[in-house]
Amino acid sequence: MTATTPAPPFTAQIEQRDRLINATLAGEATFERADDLRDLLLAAADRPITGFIVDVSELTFISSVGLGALVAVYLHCRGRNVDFHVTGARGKVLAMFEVTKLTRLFRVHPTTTAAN
Amino acid sequence: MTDYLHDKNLSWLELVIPNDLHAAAESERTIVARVESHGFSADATFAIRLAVEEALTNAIKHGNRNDPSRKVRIRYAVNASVAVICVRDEGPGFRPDDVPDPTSPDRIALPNGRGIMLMRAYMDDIMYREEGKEVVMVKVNV
Repeated sequence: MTATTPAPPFTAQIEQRDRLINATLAGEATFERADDLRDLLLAAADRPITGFIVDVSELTFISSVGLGALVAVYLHCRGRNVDFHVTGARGKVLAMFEVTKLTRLFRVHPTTTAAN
Repeated sequence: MTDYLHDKNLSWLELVIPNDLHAAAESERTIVARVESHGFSADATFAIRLAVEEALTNAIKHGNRNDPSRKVRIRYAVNASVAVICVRDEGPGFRPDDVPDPTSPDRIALPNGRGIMLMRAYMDDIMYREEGKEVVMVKVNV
């Protein structure tokens, strides 16, 4: 197999301010990282909060399993009456939300401040 | 679909990988590097990468049902004009026409089921062969 350059690392940073979670995703949310992404966000969504924002402005790649992880977190938030937003969606990542029509399921904002 | 599978101008490469995501990711990077070396645009490269990831996910999880004794076979041919990628699993196959639309109101909130739709949306053509055990995906370089 040909040696290739490893993918940029995926990172997820969770911050809580009062009762609002801000999860900042960066890099490539590939199928290798989707389970970690889902578990990390679900754990954060279990806190006593009223709002959950996922900032994808630094996300460069996401596939269906990553989108599925976000849907799982959205459903978890909905079940706990927690507002769920995706912010900073642009370019190819925004197109993924639009093609899958997930923009009809939860609020997807083009800027990182729109949901605050 | 143009019959790329029998196009004598295409040179085919093959990868047979274990049924796990790490091996799949390495294969994905190998194919993407090949596509980039032939001058495909960033958008086309993104589309191919996404489709390959979806096809490999389906092969490993749904076709081979996460069975570590099974393999995934990838054949691909890339030149400056077109990329053709075939992904085959060792599962029982399936009927693609029976897969429901994941954007329908009754399915939009399900975490799974978007892979085939994304492959169709981002590639120029996809076709299932061998009773659904193999998917053939085509992207033309424009």
